[in-house]
Amino acid sequence: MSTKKFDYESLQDAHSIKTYLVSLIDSIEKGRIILKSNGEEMAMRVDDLMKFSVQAKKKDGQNKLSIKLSWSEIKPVIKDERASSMSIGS
Amino acid sequence: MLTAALKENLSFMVVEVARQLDETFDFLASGEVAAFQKINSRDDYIDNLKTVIENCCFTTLSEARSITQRERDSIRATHTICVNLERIGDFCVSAADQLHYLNNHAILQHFDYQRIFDLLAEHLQEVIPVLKNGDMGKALAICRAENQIDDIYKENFDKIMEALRSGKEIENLVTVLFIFRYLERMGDSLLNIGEALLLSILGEKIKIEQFQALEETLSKSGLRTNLAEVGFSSILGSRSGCRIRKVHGHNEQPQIIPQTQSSIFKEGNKEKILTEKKNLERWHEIFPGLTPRLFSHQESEETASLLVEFLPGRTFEAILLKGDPAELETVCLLLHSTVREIWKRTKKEMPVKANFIPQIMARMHSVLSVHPDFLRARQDIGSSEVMPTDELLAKCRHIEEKLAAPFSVFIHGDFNVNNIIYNAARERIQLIDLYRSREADYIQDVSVFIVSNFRQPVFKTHLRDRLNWITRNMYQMAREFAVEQGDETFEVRMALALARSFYTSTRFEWNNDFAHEMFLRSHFLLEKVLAHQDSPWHTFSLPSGIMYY
Repeated sequence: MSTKKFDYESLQDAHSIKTYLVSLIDSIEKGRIILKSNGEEMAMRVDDLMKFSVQAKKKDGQNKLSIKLSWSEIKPVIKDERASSMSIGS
Repeated sequence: MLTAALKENLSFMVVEVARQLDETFDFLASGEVAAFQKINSRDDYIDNLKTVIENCCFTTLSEARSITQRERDSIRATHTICVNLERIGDFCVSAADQLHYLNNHAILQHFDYQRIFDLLAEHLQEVIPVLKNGDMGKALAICRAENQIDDIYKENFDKIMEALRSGKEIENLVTVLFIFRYLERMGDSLLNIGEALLLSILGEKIKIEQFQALEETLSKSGLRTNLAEVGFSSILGSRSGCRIRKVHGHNEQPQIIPQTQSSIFKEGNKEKILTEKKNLERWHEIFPGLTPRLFSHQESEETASLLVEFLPGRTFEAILLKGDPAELETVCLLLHSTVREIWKRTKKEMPVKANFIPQIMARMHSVLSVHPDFLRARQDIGSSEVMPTDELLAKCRHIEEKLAAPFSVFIHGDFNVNNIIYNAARERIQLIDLYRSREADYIQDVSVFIVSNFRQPVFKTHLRDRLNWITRNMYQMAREFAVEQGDETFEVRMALALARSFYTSTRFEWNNDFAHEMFLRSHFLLEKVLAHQDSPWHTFSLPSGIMYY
């Protein structure tokens, strides 16, 4: 299975950070997050259920805040056991 | 100096290599098989001697309780000499071995190999005496013998080529060429021996070409040309590609270089050296005493050299890292008043473009060769677009076109913390390395100074606080000057200048995290300038936090 990666790192001020966050929120609301790098696209379908975590750390005057979303796009297969085991006899 | 065993073994080795040369010559002349066996077995003996001498050198260096620099140089020289003597021995075997491929032995006798053997023998016998008595003239003669050997090689090479054109005896002529090639390489080894002898006499590793340039420059400055009487000291590193040596004047030297005065010898790229000379003269007119005095200069076809005053004192870098706080404060105040005075004296009411963005573009290749990923690609994060580096630079260049500084000053051009000298005895600031000086935007020197502070590889809090304090004061001084002069676009030009210095300085920074920090800061500043393009430039506010770490 292929692995796709997108990586962006920058320095921003509060105003420009907001621009990026708002654009991500818009994408979540629309149900699709599109990330592109050099024309190569990575699309992520937003799920009804996503793991959402916020982690923060403060050490020696250095601050770090991580916001993480993770979810699976593979839907569990729901089998109807009764239906598959049914046999029709003559 | 050298131990008795070392001296003795080296003398043996010289004698053996000289005999090897004799035997090889005889073999090439006679072609007698027995002679080849002798050459081969002597080679083993020479190899052994080399091992013995090497061991002796390393043991002396590691076991001696106290050893002077002079003794260390002497041992280094001895080691180089023995390595190169052994090589000459090897080349003898290789040249002799070629004779087996020669079908027609007589053909070799049409060519003049004897003169090369004569030169090698003549100069090899001087090696031990020169090492003992430090005769500079003879050491130089050994170095210069290589040129003579090269000339003889060239004469014979041309003769072989001509003979080859006849289409006869091709295999034999190629073998003769191989033999001469080995003889020519013996000359190269002789040169290494000569340069090692110079090291033992001068206490400096110096190439014969540099030596000649220095000799001519000193001679032009009115100094006696006997370099053995002129002291050398540490090699000072330089990024400019010029080699720099400190030459001490001696008491008996004429007044051109005052007593106890030292000078710096710079030799290298002609254009750079001549620009520095022109700039030194200009600085001397503007601000006598601020920059080193020029004693003399010398030009050859490709290189040039300068002999300039050595400025005693410490660099600003040394003071900011090791000086006490009160001293640092004094030096900063002095630096600010010196810089303001330069600006005042050299200010010309002539708008000048700084070209910070083209400067980034010109250095991009060097940046990418150290950090291949320091180029942002076009990216989209949802509906937000990230502009790629090249587009960002192109747009900022366009903006910069309209942002000339309202006046010019004569800038240093490489206003790094290690190009600023503080002379405590005379309580003055002096500047060195001036080949980039020109009429330009004063902001360039300020931004280079700020980033040279920023990129000091020190991360202890108290030192970073110090660096930030220096940066803030320099920035404030420059900003006050801008306000006084009615320079309304100071902050936006400073943003571009800092972007330039952050980006281009990454090529000197191997610590990837730190370099990446500078890369990000540079992009942030460029984006900030671009985002402001529809507003008046005098309303641009530099996010000052960008200068501090």
